[in-house]
Amino acid sequence: MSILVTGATGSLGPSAVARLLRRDAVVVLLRPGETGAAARFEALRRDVVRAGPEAPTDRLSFVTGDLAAADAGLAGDDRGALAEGVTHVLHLAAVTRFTLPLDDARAGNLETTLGALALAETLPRLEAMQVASTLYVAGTRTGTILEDDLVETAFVNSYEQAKHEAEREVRARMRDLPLTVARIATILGSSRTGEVRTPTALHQAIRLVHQGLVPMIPGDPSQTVEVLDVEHAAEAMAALLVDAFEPGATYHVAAGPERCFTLQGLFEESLRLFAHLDPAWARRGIEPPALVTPETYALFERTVHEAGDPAMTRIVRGLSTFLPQLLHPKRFDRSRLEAALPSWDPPATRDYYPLVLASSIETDWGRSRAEASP
Amino acid sequence: MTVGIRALSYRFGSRMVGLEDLAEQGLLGSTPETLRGFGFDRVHIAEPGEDLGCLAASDLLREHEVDPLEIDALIVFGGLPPDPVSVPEGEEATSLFHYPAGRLQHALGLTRATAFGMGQQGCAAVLSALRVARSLLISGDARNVLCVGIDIVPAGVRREVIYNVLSDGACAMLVSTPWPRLRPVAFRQITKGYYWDTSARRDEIIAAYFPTARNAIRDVVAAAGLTLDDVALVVPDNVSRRGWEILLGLLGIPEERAFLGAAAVRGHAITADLVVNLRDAIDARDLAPESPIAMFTFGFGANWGAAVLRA
Repeated sequence: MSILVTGATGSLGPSAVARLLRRDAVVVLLRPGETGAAARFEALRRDVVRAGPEAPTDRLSFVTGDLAAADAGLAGDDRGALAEGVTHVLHLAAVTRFTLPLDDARAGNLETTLGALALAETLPRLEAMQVASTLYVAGTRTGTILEDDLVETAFVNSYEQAKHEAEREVRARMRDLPLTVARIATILGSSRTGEVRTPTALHQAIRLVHQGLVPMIPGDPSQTVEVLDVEHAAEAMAALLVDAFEPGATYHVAAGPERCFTLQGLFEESLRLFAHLDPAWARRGIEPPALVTPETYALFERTVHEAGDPAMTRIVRGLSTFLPQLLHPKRFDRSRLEAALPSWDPPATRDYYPLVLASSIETDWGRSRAEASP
Repeated sequence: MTVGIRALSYRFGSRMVGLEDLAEQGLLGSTPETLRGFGFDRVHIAEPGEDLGCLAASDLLREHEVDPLEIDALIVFGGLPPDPVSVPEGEEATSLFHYPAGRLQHALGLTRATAFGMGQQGCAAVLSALRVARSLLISGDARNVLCVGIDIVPAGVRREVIYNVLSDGACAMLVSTPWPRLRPVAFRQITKGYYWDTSARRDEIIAAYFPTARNAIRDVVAAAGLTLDDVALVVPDNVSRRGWEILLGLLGIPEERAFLGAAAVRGHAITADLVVNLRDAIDARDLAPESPIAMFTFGFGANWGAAVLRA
């Protein structure tokens, strides 16, 4: 038995691989790239050790392939080896940028999922496959979203739409393949170190607030900002794939509103922590963004575009792929997740947010870490 | 002790210039279409030697039959620094002490008045002048304080500043005691020195403007013992109308309660705006005595100034 992981180098990958290695051997699918798959595999191995120092990385191996290519771009030998050994698949590969044209978002999310499903069909010993998705396949819906819901809706950005379409394809194959879907909350960072491996649109918004460049944000101040630490996201995914697999199930892998900040609470806490972590910042007297109605924000956005101010246009454009989601407050039901993983107990955002912000400021919001990477 | 604004007057530069002409002269950064969309149409430019401050103050004294000898203090303010004086190398520095306050006191015949200047707060200087005048009156040091604001953009300087188009203007405001009308009851000024370098912090100032403006207005209304719903009239400055529409949206104040629209015909006359709009709004709207009036302006430097008056 072994576990095949796609997208292992992404934001969740090293943490998920570290946890899966405790359960079994893991083989990761790496795309052939300019830097070479072997070099990236070694970087991944280091990241896995950082994410889980006790992970037995001697059980970690890789194959080279491309989910967008025929036969997943696998060499014949690799294809045979996977067919012989793989019993579980964790499909993490995704392109999470919100600003992509829909075709590109589909290529990175829908097409890769179709490729992963096609690959799964070639694995005769397959017992379980989990496809990572996002809470925001619910698009612009509001109110309580059930884990079984996959309702036609509008979307805030191309990423949400492409993931929604990918989930539809997964659902269509659930009769033929042992499949589950894990809809993951926005990953805020590591609750252990504060590291943010892949900044999300939320991080960009918080960074802009730190820089004093966000005048207002649309949304209900009392709505929940659903975020999760990477460790508990990875642990839930590993457990749902290996320990508590239930074919056909969809899970909301989310901390829940009682553990998360409200929108207003998030920005208030952000400013409090900025001042605490960075005394020079505190002297600037930066105000938290005003939380405003959609109409007021739309007028502001239109004004910025009409004025053509380059910096403010860039800021507003960057925020526009994310902020509209705040106009559609939701509560994600987690009944199935809680039944499957009764002892899963992620930390409250408040408990590790200081670490995340400290790490973000220390690394200049990931820039210094990115520059230091090979 | 009852302190109120007894009289208001203003003057604009006598030459009116449209946005297209300003654009032709290279005095705008944005297109006339963009600025028209933000509520501007034309500006007033002073002719050389046009003494707008003296004219505005003279109007006030004449129209309200105020004897210059009644004035105990003269406060001269402006958003722009007074005309810079260059001193030839090696010469005495006496010309650096040529102050508008003394010149105006003499020109107006305010021989009993002590005269001094206020500035370095951009447009917000107008509310500081009102605040200091009120304090002087409350302390018993004066019974009539004349505040005169003067802003004339130097020739050739671009008249657009961050999507606002500047007019040359001056205002005069007589603050007296006892006086039962237009009583200033609360002030709030937020100064954020971090933004003192307007050129370097331009983007941050744009971002800081709205949330800080909202806070200043909320604070001053609360300090007056009121809620935003109680405010009968909002007197804005003449920065872009669009900016005010957004700010009113942040505050949840209906637009009809604000005296909007003056920017189109007046332009942004820096410190004079609030006096101009207060006077025009009182003339245009039938405000019951004691109605709460909220005033707000932002001044580079950076200062967010707000006040509440009782009509």
